[in-house]
Amino acid sequence: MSRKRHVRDIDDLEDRPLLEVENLKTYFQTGHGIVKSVDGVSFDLERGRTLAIVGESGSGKTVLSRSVMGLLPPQNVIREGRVRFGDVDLTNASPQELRGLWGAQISMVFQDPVTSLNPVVRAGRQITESLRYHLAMSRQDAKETAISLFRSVGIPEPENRMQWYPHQFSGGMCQRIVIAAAIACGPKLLLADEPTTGLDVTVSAQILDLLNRLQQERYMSVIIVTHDLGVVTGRSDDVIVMYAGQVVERAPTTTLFRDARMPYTEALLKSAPRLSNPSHTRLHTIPGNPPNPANLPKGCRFAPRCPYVQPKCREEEPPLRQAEAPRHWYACWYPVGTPEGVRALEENQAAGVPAAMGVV
Amino acid sequence: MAGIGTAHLRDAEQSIIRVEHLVVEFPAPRGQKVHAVSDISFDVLPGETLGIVGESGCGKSTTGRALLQLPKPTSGKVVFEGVDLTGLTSEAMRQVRTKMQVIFQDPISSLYPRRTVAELVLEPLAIWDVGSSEDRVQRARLMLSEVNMDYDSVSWRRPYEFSIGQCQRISIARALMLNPRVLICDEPVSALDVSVQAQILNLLEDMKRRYGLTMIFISHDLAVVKNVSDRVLVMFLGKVCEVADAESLYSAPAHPYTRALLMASVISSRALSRAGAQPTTFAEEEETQTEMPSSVTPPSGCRYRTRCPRAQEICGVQEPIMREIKTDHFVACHFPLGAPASTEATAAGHSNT
Repeated sequence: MSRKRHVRDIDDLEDRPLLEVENLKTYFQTGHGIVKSVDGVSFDLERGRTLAIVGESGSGKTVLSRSVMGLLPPQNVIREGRVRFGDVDLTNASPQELRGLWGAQISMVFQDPVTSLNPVVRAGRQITESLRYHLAMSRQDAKETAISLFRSVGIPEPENRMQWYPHQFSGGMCQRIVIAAAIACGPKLLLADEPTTGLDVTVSAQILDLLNRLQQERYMSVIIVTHDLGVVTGRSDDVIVMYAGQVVERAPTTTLFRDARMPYTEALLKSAPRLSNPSHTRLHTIPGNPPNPANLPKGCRFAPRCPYVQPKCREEEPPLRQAEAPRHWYACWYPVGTPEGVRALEENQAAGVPAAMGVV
Repeated sequence: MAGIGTAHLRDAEQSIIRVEHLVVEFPAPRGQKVHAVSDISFDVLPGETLGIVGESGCGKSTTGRALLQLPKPTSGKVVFEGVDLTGLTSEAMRQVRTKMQVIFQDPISSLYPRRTVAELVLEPLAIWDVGSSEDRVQRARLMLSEVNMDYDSVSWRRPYEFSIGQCQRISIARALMLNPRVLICDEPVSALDVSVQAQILNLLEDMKRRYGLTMIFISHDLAVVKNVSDRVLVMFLGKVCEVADAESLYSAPAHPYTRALLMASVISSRALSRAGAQPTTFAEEEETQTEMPSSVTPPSGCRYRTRCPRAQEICGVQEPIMREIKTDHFVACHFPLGAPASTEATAAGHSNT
């Protein structure tokens, strides 16, 4: 007797990226007013590429990834815009349709591997479950597939470890199991929300290598959400920098690190301590705090903390503009490294604007 | 890597803290023991910052707490300003703790949620009955302004009203209220965003300079440790692998474990330095196995040998002893990188590869 396959096949549209997000907004209705967590975000992602979404806590990066997936609760959430995944419109998909996609075509790896796994279910079954449900595999086939998945994510003695419970594994090993479960059904898109936060450096290097290798082997598209710019370097094709719910810069990774235009990106890059600097190097800091998402400033949202700020920034919101380099977009009136930007910074330094004083 | 020995200790007269043969063990089921810290020694000079790095479970936090006798170490000596703290009564230890303060990783849970900021920062002075109440408020005003907070606008607020970075600054202000000599920072920036992390690190550097503090800075992040430390100690599974001044350790790591840690961070931060990003993987260059061995039944000999690409027979038999390979650069390894093999290893007929 054949079981029904619960998987919604998607077709790639010709000449169109796998994932297209258009002007996505996600607002929460709270007692303090409407919190604009994601406010007009657009991006697209081609098959087989990696996109990193970078931002500080509260910048809306996690809400964005959940909103793309459709994982937010229905109450008190306003979600506008369009998310197209292959030939499916995720914004209007029914819960049944989403159920056929989640785990099968779009998967997610969450930050805390230990709590992502069910503590009272053996590791093997956490993987075979989705194989049996989505792909209607027999018990034996599912088991064999799970063992090979365990092997491909680098878990030693996979046959034995299938029988283990999550608490018997270390954090890094749990994350490997979560990744194995996420890729079990061969998804086209993998969302990894802070996949290495909380893991040791050596383990985190291995997990990122693993994601990279799996992505190449399986030709997946990957979105890595992280607060750590170090994580994305050399591992993602493109980077989106988010600030207060908006995309402030988007560029191919190397372009972004070489040629950041948005002052916020520049400040983030400069504030990380580096191994190449001598001890006791003074770190660059960003003055002030991120804006309250329920009460956003007029104009550019970074203006109150920006060393380049001009009167125009406090009045008009800068749109995403194309830089000279291909596929490089930024939202700033006085971008870093341009004559206007240099002039703005010099004026601010001459006028003693506090935010501009620390910038060299 | 296991490392015993005290070759890296400096003149006892000069050091403010001197830890000798520190052992911390915890009971485990079936009569076994968790060997959290096994015979480590180090010292700190006044005004120096010692960074302690290692992965989770290597005993770095336990070491920091053992200095404060929280809990008392199983054996070994902790000498602070010439006094062995392990022999003190709890009342005498209480007195010493005013001079040794600590900042913990999670600033929110280290501040009592129902107290106001004023109560939190004034409490140390109230406990020790220092000065009049005006003096105390004066001191609180000063310390809060040092961490860029205004006493009048924050004193009546409670921790939940602050961001995590602000809570960490309140913790720092509180730690400095009694004018301590030593500040132990246990992962003080791990929970913070990179821009906030930069603020806190700069702040700690300022405070250290202004108040002549000696710091012990515990972290798993090598770049952060390098930024604040004069001298760095690398730990693995309760043992010291390598001790050296920060520049020397980072430019020429001698222990294979130090190198592995550095490679992992370099790969993830390579594009931060604007030089071209070579997409190399960690496993290609370093260890393929990163599981921590059990601290209940640690490997014999060098504890790092199960992960070490250079391990040979002798590493399982004989524990390497701390030795100086360059001026002020100490390593506990039979086959260190860029230095001759240990005398034990040479005697046993192993060559350095």
